[in-house]
Amino acid sequence: MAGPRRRFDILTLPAQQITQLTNAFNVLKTNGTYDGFIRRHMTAAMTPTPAGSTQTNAAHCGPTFLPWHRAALWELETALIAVDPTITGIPYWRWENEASLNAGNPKLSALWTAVYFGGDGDPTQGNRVVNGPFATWQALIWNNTTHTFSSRSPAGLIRRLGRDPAGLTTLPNQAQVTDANSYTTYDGAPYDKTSASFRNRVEGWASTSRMHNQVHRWIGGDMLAGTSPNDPVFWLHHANVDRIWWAWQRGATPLRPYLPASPSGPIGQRSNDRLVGLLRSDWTPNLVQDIGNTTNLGYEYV
Amino acid sequence: MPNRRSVLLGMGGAAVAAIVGVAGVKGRQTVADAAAPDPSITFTYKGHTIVVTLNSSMAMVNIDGRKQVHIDRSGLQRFHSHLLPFQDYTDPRRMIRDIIDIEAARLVIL
Repeated sequence: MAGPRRRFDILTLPAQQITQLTNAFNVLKTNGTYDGFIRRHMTAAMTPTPAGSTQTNAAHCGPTFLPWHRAALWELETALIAVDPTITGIPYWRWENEASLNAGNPKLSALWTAVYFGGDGDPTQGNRVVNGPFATWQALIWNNTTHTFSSRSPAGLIRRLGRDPAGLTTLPNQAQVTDANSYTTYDGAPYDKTSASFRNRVEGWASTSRMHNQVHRWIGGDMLAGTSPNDPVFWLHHANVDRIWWAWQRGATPLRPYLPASPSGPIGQRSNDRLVGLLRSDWTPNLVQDIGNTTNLGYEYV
Repeated sequence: MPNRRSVLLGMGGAAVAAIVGVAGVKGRQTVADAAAPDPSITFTYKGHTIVVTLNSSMAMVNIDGRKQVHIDRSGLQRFHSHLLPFQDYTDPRRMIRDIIDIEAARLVIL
């Protein structure tokens, strides 16, 4: 496509562009492409990185959290644009703004309506989402005994907005974003859930569930599991996480760098290491350092 | 598997005291008894019988004598499962209850 991809706040997009986007998601779901993204996320979450680690995996709980999801987003966006070249980029859901919208009730967001991404789950139907563009989707769930995936019947994604017993009742707010931005170092030893760093604040392990983790847990249902990309809102959420990183990187010139810089740091988490579990190793710029600069990837946030 | 001494030293007295407080704890929590099995917790939830065997870096959960779930452990009271990857728990029983609930909700198959 001509020019960089542009990622907008989904609540600012005209209805026609929402329809184009959700139609493209449905094409990817129907042809099987989409389920590959679910499998790869779960597999990455179960890949100890470095090998043998009980603390960090290929995509979470360590420095590669942000680059891995940036790469996965870029791959999904590429697939969506291949379906419909008029899509300008994957939009983001600015969840930190919800506290100031709809009298502070995020369940009333337009996002959770049939013309956007469908509503909350219906408690009388197993908390399945029964309206919107993804109402017929069959989730792919993980069998922990056989280590295989299977399709869930009946159809319908599961959401429990702010009411999942294993989740949380609130979304992160702007104060949390400001707090994360006060950390000017990307990451630091021991490069895990205990690090005092920007990455760890954004991922949400510091003291209690925050930011990224908190959003997964507020949406609840399918978003609680390692197969969380089952719910397409996963991508809007992660686009916002990526936008926060994008803005943080631009807080200095040159861009604030990724850490740890090779050759120091845990194997698999260093700047020159290869991200694993992505779509195609010969397509995605798949070294951690390749992912740092969005200009090279050809997109920007609006 | 680490022996009982290393487990108890790794867990710290406060954690042991917390675990001993659970109904159905098997084995005596004594440092001197080096040959005893690892500390375990037994409890029931929604008709399921759960046995949790703890050591310093992980826990193995057995549900109804047939389903096994591995849990990672870091620090004294921080537990994590790949089945619920966006949260940590201080209480392994609470984690296992949530895992059983997400299976009932058909988010995962144990």
